[in-house]
Amino acid sequence: MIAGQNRGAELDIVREAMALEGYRVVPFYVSNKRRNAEYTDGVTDGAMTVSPHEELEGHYSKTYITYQNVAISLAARKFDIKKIADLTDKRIVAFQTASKVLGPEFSRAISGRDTYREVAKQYEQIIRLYAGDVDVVVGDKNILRWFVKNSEYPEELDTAQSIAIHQIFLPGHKYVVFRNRSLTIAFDRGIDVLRENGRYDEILTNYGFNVIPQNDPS
Amino acid sequence: MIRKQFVERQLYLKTNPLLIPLAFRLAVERFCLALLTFSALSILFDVQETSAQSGPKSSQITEENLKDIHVSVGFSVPLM
Repeated sequence: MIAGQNRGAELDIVREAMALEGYRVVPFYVSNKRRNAEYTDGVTDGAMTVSPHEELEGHYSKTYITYQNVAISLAARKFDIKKIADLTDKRIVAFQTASKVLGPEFSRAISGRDTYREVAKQYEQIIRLYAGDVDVVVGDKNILRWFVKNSEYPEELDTAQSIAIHQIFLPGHKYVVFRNRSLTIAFDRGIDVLRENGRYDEILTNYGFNVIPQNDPS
Repeated sequence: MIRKQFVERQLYLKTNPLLIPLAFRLAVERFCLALLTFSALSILFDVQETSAQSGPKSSQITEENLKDIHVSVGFSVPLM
């Protein structure tokens, strides 16, 4: 889990799967919105971490990784959040494209709300939460945990505040999408090999992630 | 004109009965040739598809001959 060093469990998995098939993945780091636009405009050959709700043109792979999106809040606020609808009266900041990715129930909960924001840099989500500017942050559990533990925050921010995690979202299975069908076939084949030889689990474990079973409902 | 040619042809075949089996044989031969060509093409495309499905052999892949593909990646992915 190395920010700014072109590495990460998911990226390593995609890289190794494609390398088995004779391809070198050259990543173009952009915001989620920009990612979809660049792919659609033909700037790149494919896009990763794509959700089916994003409806990009092209050939979707089989699912290769699962995100666990959660809502987090300051524990001291003692919010009783047990389902998505409980977010309706909260001030929320989420990652870009969350309104599409998290499905129709979440879309309804935040629809027309001026207290809902999406930001490209998730570091800003944590700052707003600690500062009390928002009630809830929505994002992947592992990514948010990384930011909470590893980011450098302004001194005046009380980062010692406990955080409550609300598991209200189903696991989100992710896909890569390529314009060229043969790349998608190659990717799926590479992932199958990594899963079969144990390398897939090894990469996740090396980065400290739990392996989420593929047949998890979502 | 066409009818005239047809009638003439029928007349020609009637007067030369040995030509009828010859014409039939020619038709069968052409049909078999077409079938053979179709089968050969099918096998060829099937082999190509199978080859695409099975992918390159790992011994053929080296760091130097990897082909670059450009992939759009969200900012947070390196953290995942």
